[in-house]
This record gives sequence, C-alpha cells and structure tokens, in this order.
Amino acid sequence: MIDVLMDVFNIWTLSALVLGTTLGILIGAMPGLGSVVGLSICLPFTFGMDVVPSLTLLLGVYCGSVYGGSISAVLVNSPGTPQAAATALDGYPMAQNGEGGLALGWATMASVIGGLISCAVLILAAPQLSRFATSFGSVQVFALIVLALTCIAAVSHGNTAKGLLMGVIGLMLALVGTDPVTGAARFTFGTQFLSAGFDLIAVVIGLFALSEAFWRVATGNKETAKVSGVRLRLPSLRAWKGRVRTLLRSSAIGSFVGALPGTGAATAAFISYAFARQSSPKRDNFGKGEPEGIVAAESSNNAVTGSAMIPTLALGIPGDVVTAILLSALVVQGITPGVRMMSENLELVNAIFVVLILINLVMLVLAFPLVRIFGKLLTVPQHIVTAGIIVFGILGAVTVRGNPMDVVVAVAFGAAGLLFRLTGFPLAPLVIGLVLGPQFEQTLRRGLLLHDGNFFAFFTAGPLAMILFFCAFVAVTAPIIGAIRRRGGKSAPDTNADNRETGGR
Amino acid sequence: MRTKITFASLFVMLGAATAAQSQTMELVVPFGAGGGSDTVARVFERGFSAALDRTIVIRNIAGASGTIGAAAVAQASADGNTLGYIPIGPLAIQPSLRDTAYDLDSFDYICQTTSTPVFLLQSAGSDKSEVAEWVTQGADSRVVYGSSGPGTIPHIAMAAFATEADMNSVHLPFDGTGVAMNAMAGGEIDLFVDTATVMESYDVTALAVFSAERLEAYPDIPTMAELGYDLEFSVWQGLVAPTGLDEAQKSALADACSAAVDATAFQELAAQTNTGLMYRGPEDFEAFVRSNAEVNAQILQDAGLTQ
Repeated sequence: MIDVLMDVFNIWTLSALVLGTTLGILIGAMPGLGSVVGLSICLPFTFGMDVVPSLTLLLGVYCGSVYGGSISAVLVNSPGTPQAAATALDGYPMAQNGEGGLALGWATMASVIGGLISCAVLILAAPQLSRFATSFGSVQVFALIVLALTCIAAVSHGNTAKGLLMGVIGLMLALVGTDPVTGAARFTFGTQFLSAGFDLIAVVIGLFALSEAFWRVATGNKETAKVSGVRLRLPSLRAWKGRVRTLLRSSAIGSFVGALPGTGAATAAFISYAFARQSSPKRDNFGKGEPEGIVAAESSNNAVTGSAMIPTLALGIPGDVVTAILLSALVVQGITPGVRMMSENLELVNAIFVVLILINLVMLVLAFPLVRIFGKLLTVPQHIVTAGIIVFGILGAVTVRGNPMDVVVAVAFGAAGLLFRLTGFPLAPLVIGLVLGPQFEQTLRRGLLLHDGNFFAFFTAGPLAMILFFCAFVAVTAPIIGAIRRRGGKSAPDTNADNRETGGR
Repeated sequence: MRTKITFASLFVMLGAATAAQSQTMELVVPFGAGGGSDTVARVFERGFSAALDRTIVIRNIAGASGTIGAAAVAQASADGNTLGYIPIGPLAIQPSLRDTAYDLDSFDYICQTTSTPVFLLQSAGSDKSEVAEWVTQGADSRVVYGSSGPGTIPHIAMAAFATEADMNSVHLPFDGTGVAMNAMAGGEIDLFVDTATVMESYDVTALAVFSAERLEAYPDIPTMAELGYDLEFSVWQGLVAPTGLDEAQKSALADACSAAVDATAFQELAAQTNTGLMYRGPEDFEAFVRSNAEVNAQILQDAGLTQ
C-alpha cells in the first residue's frame, strides 16, 4: 500500500493529474473536441514518461473530457460529443432561464458522484462484473440495445411520431458504409468516401454544434441564453431531496453499461435519462430545464469512466476507442494488458484506482475556475461566440479521422439540423439511432448467424435476454397503458403533458 | 458582418494548416492514433526520420478498413514527400473485397518492416486440446469462429482452414479483437486466429501456428503443416509510395527503412509486442505483396466474399 501511495503522491503524478484533468475539461468543453481527440493528442507525449504519470495524464484527460462536454452543452447548447447530448436537453433550457451556473452545479455534482460510485464498483467488483460481462453474448447485447432504443420516446419531447421518425433516420444512416458481415460497401453511391460510413463525431458536431451556430445566425441571436460571466453554483442539499434516487440509479446504470464491452457513455446517458423521465414525479418538467434530467445524464456518463476500466483491467478487453488508446499506452510502457494484468501488476492497478478517485475530486475543485473562464470567454459579442462554435466544430470534425470530407458531412448535418429545429423535429433521437445502429445490426446479424436465421430463438436464448426483452416491452407499453388509464379516469384533457410541448429545441 | 467573420476565421485556419504541411515528409497511417499499426508506425518513424535526417509527420487517416488512408497515399504526388505505412489489409485484402480507388499498381514498394505469424486459438476453458478434435466437431456438427471483421487475417486464415479441413463453420465478425475475445470467454465462439500478442493477453491457448516452422519462442506449438494443413498466414506491414517514385530516391528510402528496422527502439518494441521483424527490399516486397494478394483473393472467392 505504501508503494502505491509513493507511486501516486509524487510531483510527476500529481502534476500529470492536475494537467490532464484541466486539459480534459477544456477539450471536452470545446464544442467539437472530445475524449478521443484529447487522448490521441496526449498519447505521443506519454511515450517518454513513467508508467503511472502517463496513465494518470490519459485518465485525467478522459474523465475530464466526459465532464467538460457538459459545459458547452449547457452554456451554448453545443454538445461536442454524443455522450453530452442528453445533458443539453435540460441543461440548455436552464441556462436560457438564467440558471446556467446552477445547471452546471448540478452537472458537476452529478459527474463527481457518478464517477466516485463507479470507482467504488470498479474497486470492489471488477473480477465479478467482468465475468458477468462475458455472459453477454450477441443475443443479450442485442436485447440491451433494443431496450436502449426505447429511450427514443423519452427524448422526443412530446412529439413521439417525429421522434421515432428521427430515430429511424439515425438507424438508416448507420447502415451507410461497410457491411459488417460481408465487408462489401453499401449505400455509398459508388463513392470511396462514403464506404467509411458517417463518422458519429462529425454528425454530432454538425447536428448540434453547427446547427446551433446556424440557428443563432438565422434568429439573430435572439433566443440564446445569457451566460456571460456565469459562475458555478452548487445546488443546495435541500434541492437534492427526491433527486437522490435518480442520482443513484443513473450511476448504477452507467457503471453497469460501462462494464459491457462495445457500449459506451452515450448509451448509458440516454438510458438513464429515459428511466428518470419515466419514473420521476417531475417528469412533466423534463426537457424544459429540470435538474433531474441533468443529474441522470451526467451521473451515468461519468459513471462509465470508472467501470469502462473493468473489462479493460480485468480482461484486457477494451470496450471502446478510449480504453483501446489507454491499453496501447500500457503496451508502449512494456506492460501486457490482459487477464493476468490484475495479478501481475497489482501495484499499478491499485495506483490506477487511487488516481481515478483523485481525478474525480480534483475535477470538483477545477470546475469552479474553469467554468468561470468559460463564462468570461462568453462575454465576447455573440457573433464571435457563434464563429467560435463553427471554428472548433470544423476543427473537431477534421481531427477525428483526418478526413477532410468529414467537414462536408458536419456542415451538411448542420444545415439539416437547422431544418429539423425549424420544423420541430427533435435531434437527439437521430443521434441515438446512429450511436446504437451499428451495434444493433451487428448483434442482430451475429445472433441470426448463430441460430440459423431463426429470430424466435432470441427469445429462448436464456434468462438474461428474456429479462432485457421484457424490460424493453414494459418501457414501450407502460406509457401507453398509463395514458389510456389516465384518459379513462377523470377526463382531464391536460394530464398528458407530452402533447403540449412543441419539441425541437 | 457576422458571416464574414465566420468565413474569414475558417480560411485563416485552413491556410495555416496547409502551409505547415508542405515542408516536411508526411507518413500516412491508415488507422486511428493509438491503434496497433499506429503504435508501431510511430516507433518506426523515429528511426526512419533519424536515418533520413528529415522531419516526418505522421498523419492518421482512418476509415473503411484502412482503404481511405491507402487511397490518400496512392493519390498523392510521387515526389517522395508522402509515404504510407500500410499493413496487410488495405494492400493485399481489401482491393478484392470492395471497390477501392487504387490497386496494387498504384504504389511503389519501398520495404517490408514486419511479419508476424498468427496462431489458431481456443478458449483456455475449452475441453478440447488438439486441432483434430475441432475438425471432428466441424465434420459432425459445426464450429463457430470469430474474427475482428470480414476480410481480416483472422477471418481469412480461419476460412482457409475450414475449407482445407472440410469443416462446417459459422463466421461471426466482431468490431475488433477485444469484443471477440469477450465472446470467446463467454463461449459464443470456439476458435479465433490471431498473433502472439493476443494469445498472451487473453485467457486463450494456442493449438497451432500458421508458419513454415515452429517459432523459437513457442517450441511446443505445432505448425499447421505438421498437422496436415499446408497453411501459412502472417500479418505484416510495409512502406509504400505513390507510383512513379524515382529510382535513386526509392533506394535511399529503402536504405533508411532498413536502418529504422535495425534501430534499437524498434527492436525493443517488436520484442515487447511479439511482433516479428522482417525487412524486404523494394523488389522482394513488391513480389511478396502481389503473391500474398493473390492467395487472399482466392480464399475470399472460395468463401463467397469477393465482388
């Protein structure tokens, strides 16, 4: 234990910790730059560093960037990453009501607590959870994705038909590119560029950040939130009353989803948001600036950061691009990640645990000055903010894959996003479709290959899949049954608040 | 006014980006930063730039199984300022799987840097202990094998083995090796083919190696040929340029490449990651790529995957 503390509490590790977390928050807060970009920028610098400081730097950037995404999501309605998209749903309306600082306070507290809870899960249950994760075969993951898709209804903001349509568009866009089973190019219209499919980051940047900029230009900045000089304001303890359940449940969902390879923070955030919206007594206020929506999204996407380390450390299985980059940093340091890592490099693994806890605490401290800097930055005239969103958005789109055509994609989706906003089509379902689409297709097709093309075999593939399919069934039918009951009872025409909102923004 | 500012800042940005690139050599890696190819390429670049005494910038152009990056190399001007560090997939496999904007004639071949043989792997918890047992199961019912995607070496080697051994097989493609290993641990797939790195990292055991001779590091693992299946597969990487490079430049680059392969840092990384080093000069490398591509095309055709 002394060795571990010596590893962590030295000048190199601690400066890497503060530097990495600061950098991560800043990168995450720039619309357009996210975890992957931040980590790829920092990776080459770690080649010359010792192993604990180098991992600390990368983990700081990772955790910081997941949290930092909430800043631009709340203040300028431009989540640069899909994982912060759910945060904007309630964060930006709060900022528009002049409560931007408080919204960020909720986001910060939820992020830190979510992160700490998942650290606890990682430390206490990594071996057990990683073994449980291996029992998720293609059919089980398919069932989970089906459950996740039901959250489209929750983020449709009152117009379910438009939301579902957008979800389907997202799923269809996910089909463009390479067939995952045969490797053939499809829906590419013969172009080389489209054979790589639509890059999720480029689409998210276009759809949220650029379309926000275009919207500001189109409306002459009339509807933007007054966020200049905003200061972080933590919610009072009293305000947490009734919202703690959402916090705990969302952290649990994030911790669980993060432990499954191949899912991710965006999926976790959307599932948690959907759950919170369905079960909260304040559900009618969701989408209009309800702190509980921010709590749900932010606690669960940060809870993914700790538990994503579970398969990574316990099995050496990277669940996503981020953990893959972390593993390659280990390889460069001469450490072989894998099933034997936890037993052979126990000291390092323990150091990672300590570092993860520290990062979450440091994040809480750093949030105050960094939000303040952002508030200062936003005191510049609105058209410069707008230009900044566009510049960073385009920079982000081109950095991810190094493909200039991604800029065209981002701008095209920016224009489409403006159209969707003007016509009241919600944007989040499209992203959900695009995020989940590839997994949805791959697991479905692998399941069919395994069961000789018999889809009904999915429902007899064991209790785990059954439970998840049942949850999805309930998630779809419960609101309908609820609506029928309410309508059947005292015929109060206004009880179904869902129909009153216009959606879109 | 507002739009003017927006566009002005955009142009300044793009201008700065292009001006910075014209001075240095650009080494295109057709996969993302932090991936396996990228890690090796970055260490290779250190020795390569030292031997050439030039500044080299690595540019990751990812997407479509590396074909976008390879196409960028093929379309660059052949002035020796743009090279590609390309692994087997985009060069010797993908052109037979899909329409690519390039073919084998689009490149000048400078050198091969690595060649790593692959192993036939099963889950450590499996009740089987030799290849023959899987062949029996494949003949009686079926074996399920995974891959890190259609047209990858794990897929091609296993497809060739299934054909050669007359097994009924089901191929499940995954999004990368990690996710496939999760499926192997959970028992969804029976067999997987990959390098020693993968074998060492996960809870798997090797049944055979797809190389001509047994490996020094693993003397107990039989070759496929010993078991009666004449199959050799390896993953390799090499340096290519757009076609039309002048001969003097080509041999200077090949010399620098040879020095980079011999550099200590590269040797150390290779030892750490169980990567096999293999230097081949321009002619040998070109001949190897062409024959390798032909073999792979035939296997893909037998598996019904070519277009």
